[in-house]
Order: sequence, then C-alpha cells, then structure tokens
Amino acid sequence: MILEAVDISKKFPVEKGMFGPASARTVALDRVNFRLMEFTTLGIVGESGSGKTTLARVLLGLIPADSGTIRFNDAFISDFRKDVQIIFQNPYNSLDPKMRIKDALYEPLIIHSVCPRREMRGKASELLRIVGLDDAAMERYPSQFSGGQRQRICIARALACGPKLLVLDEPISSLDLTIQAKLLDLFVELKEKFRLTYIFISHNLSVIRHIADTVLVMKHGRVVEHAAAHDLFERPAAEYTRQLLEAAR
Amino acid sequence: MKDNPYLFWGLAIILMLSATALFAPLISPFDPSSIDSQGLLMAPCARHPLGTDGLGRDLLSRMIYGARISLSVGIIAVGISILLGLILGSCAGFYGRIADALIMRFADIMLCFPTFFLILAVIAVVEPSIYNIMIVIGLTSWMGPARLIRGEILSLKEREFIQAERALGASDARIIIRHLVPNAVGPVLVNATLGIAGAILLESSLSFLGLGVQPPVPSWGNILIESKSTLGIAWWITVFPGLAILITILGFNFIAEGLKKIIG
Repeated sequence: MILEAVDISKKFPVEKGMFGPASARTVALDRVNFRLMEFTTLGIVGESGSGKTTLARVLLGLIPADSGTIRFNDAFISDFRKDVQIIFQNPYNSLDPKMRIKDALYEPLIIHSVCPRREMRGKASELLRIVGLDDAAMERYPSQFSGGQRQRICIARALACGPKLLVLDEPISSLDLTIQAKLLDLFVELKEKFRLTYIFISHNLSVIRHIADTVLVMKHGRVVEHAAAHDLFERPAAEYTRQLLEAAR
Repeated sequence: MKDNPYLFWGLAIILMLSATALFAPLISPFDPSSIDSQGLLMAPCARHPLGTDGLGRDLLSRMIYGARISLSVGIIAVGISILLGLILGSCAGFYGRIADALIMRFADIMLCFPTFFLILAVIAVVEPSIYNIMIVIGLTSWMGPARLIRGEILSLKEREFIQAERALGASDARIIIRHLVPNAVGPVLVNATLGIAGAILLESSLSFLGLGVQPPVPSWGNILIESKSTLGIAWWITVFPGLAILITILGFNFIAEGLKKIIG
C-alpha cells in the first residue's frame, strides 16, 4: 500500500458573510476513504462537481483538508514534494508563459537538487525524449506548442524529480481524440518504465476502463463505490454507478 | 513597430531626450551658468537659438542640462515607487489575509493624503535636494503599482502553473520572484511610464515653488520660476521649458499607450 486516505472532508464557503465567517458552505469532500496499492492505477470517476479535483488537490497538499488524514507509506513516499506530482487538466494553463521550456524543466531539478548545474541540460533533454519531444523544444516558449505537446512537457516536468505517485487530473480531457489516445499510451508506457502509481481522474468511463485497476466512483463528495475495474464495469453494485454506465453507453 | 505608431513616436521622443541629457556637455553651445552681462534677455537669434535669461545665460544650454535633472528625477523616483509597489503588492496578493489587509489599508491611508502637499511638508522638513526629491516622490507614489501588482497576483496564483510549482515544492520566494512577478509586471510597466511623466511634472511644480532643485543648477521647473518676473518682456523663457515638459510627458504617455497595445 502506497497511501491511505482516512475520512477526508472538505467544505468550501459559498457566500462570504460581510463580517465574520462564511454564512453557507458547500461540501466538496465528505469522509472519503480509500487505499491505494503501489504500481496500480486508481481511476476516479464522477460528474462535474463531485469532488474529484478537490480530492486531487487535497492529496497534493495544495489545499488543506478540514479533517481526516492521508498516510503515505515511507517505503515509497519519503519526500512528499518530490515523490507525489500532479498533471492538470488544462495544459494551456499549466506552464509559466514567460519561461522557456528548458527553464521550466530545470525548476524541479534545482528545487530538489537532483543533479549539478552542468548536467541539467542533458537531464532536461533526456526528459523531453522520454515524453516524445526533441531538443528543439528547449529554447522555445509554451505558446509555441500545441495542447498535446504542452501536456507532454508537463509530464516531463513532473517526472524530473523521480516521483513515485502521479495524480492525473483529467490529463487528456481537453485534447482532441487522436492525441488523447497517444497520451494514454504514453501514460501506460511511463508507468511500466518508472514503476509509477497513478491516480487517474476522468469523467470518461471508457478511458478509465482502459487504464484503471481499481475505480472510485464519487458523487457529491462521497465515495459511492470502490471496486476492481473489471467488477465495477461488469457488475456495478451502486445504483449511481449503473446510471453512469447507462449514460455513457 | 510599424503597426504601433504610439510606441514608435514615444520611444523616438524619449530616446532623443535621453541622448540630449546624456551628451549635454558635448552638445550644449554654452556653459549653462556662464553669465553674459552684455546679452540679458535676448530674444531667440542665431547665436542664442532659444534666447537668454535675465542673467544673460543661454536658455538652450540651460534646458539641455535641465533635461538631465528632469529625466533622472522621473526615472529614479518611479524606480523607487515600482520597487516598493512590487514588494508590498506581491506580499499582499500572495499571502492574503492579515498581510493583505495591513498593506492595502496602509496604501488606502497613503492615498487619502493629497500627495503634493505631503511632499511639500516633507521637503519643508528635509533639505530640498534632487536626491531627496527622488526619494520623497518614490515613497509617496508606490500605492498605484502595489494595487496593480496585488490584483494581478491574486488572479495568477490560482492558475495551474503556480499550483504545479507548489506541487514541485518551490518556496514562496521562488514562486513570487520567478513566476508571479514576471507575469504580473506588464500592466505595471504601463503604469510606470505614466508615473515617470507624473514625477517630472511633480519635480517641475516643486522647483517652481522653490522647493525643488536649487539654483543655479538648472531644471525645467526652476527655469520656469525664474521666468515669472520677466514674463511680460521675455516670453521665450516661459514657453520653451514649458514645451519641453509637455513634449517629454507626451513621449512617456505615447510609450505607455503603445505598451498597452502590446500587452493587451
């Protein structure tokens, strides 16, 4: 087991009171529990607003949970900021527009002192090759790349510090279909190559079916069903899962 | 450049003025403080293209040297205000909550004071030198840049690339300096060029009131004040420094307008 999430809850204020604390709150996560085994892919599905993205950000420590704990297994995750990385949905927003690609790739190398400065260029070019880009990309700016290429750059940046767990928050949803398929293949390939564990968030059931080992179905911040992918798609236990599968058909 | 005439003409004007200021000793026809008792209040002629003042000093030479003062006051004063604005604004925007409340309320308080009178009060206490003027103008005009930066950073910090940077374990300082500030400076640059124009005007006003650059060092503002007594008989001493101020401010405004177009 690489991580265990216990009773994670998160509420967001809806309206802010003029004085004092918020007057109303919406529940984004409601006592979410799950365990994640190493080298597997956990798919998280649910409609918009079901709390998938909030869960991803809480796992990354980007927003604090109101209650609950996330336990990482020391054997896999020793330095949380290095070993857990995220790929976001919108590649057009995920790279600093004012930074050359090589500098974006140097960032993790510098922050975690992965390698000495003189070796950074070689490392960056290796990372680009791994995600299917070449050295010509180094000197360019993000605006000179397509969505799919930018997502590849984001993947290279996430891989730079040698993570163990990648949280993929709808990583292919905003790309067109042919590119989606290629990126999906890349994810599968990288998982084998680097012995990664994935949390793959998507609203696309066929993508989840293709890539996930176990699936977490979420609705209104609650886990509705958590089962092995095969079982879930063949014999959905929860009524809501059945509805989702029905709607996707 | 071709499709941005504002930027082109703005830069042309300011570069020309800067060159004038930089090479003042080479291009000014006379020593700006050499007095010629034979040629008091001479109208513009071949020898003195812009005429002479009440002490017989060549007006063109004095204005060329005055450009040094005016431009450096403008640029350095705004440099100080931008630096302060960047630091305070990015802290307010990034840390939010108490830091934001404290800094922005302080900015509001500063904005409540009529700047010009605040500067007058300070200059009355400290010695009115060119350096003090730069510092005082800088210290009383950081609020605009700070508000701009804060607003930019508030919207930038929620963007995914900042979140990704956090996930990579970047420190707050790294996120602010390497990612937030470079993406937030665009509008501030526009503001800065307008600010330079404002600072030059302010220096002229202060000099006009006798609290700015002290004679015999020439600045466009104190040339104007000296022209007051002879306005009726020597129009050129008033008109030319006034025109110089006008053109400089126009130049900086053009640059600001042009930059606005580029930044969008």
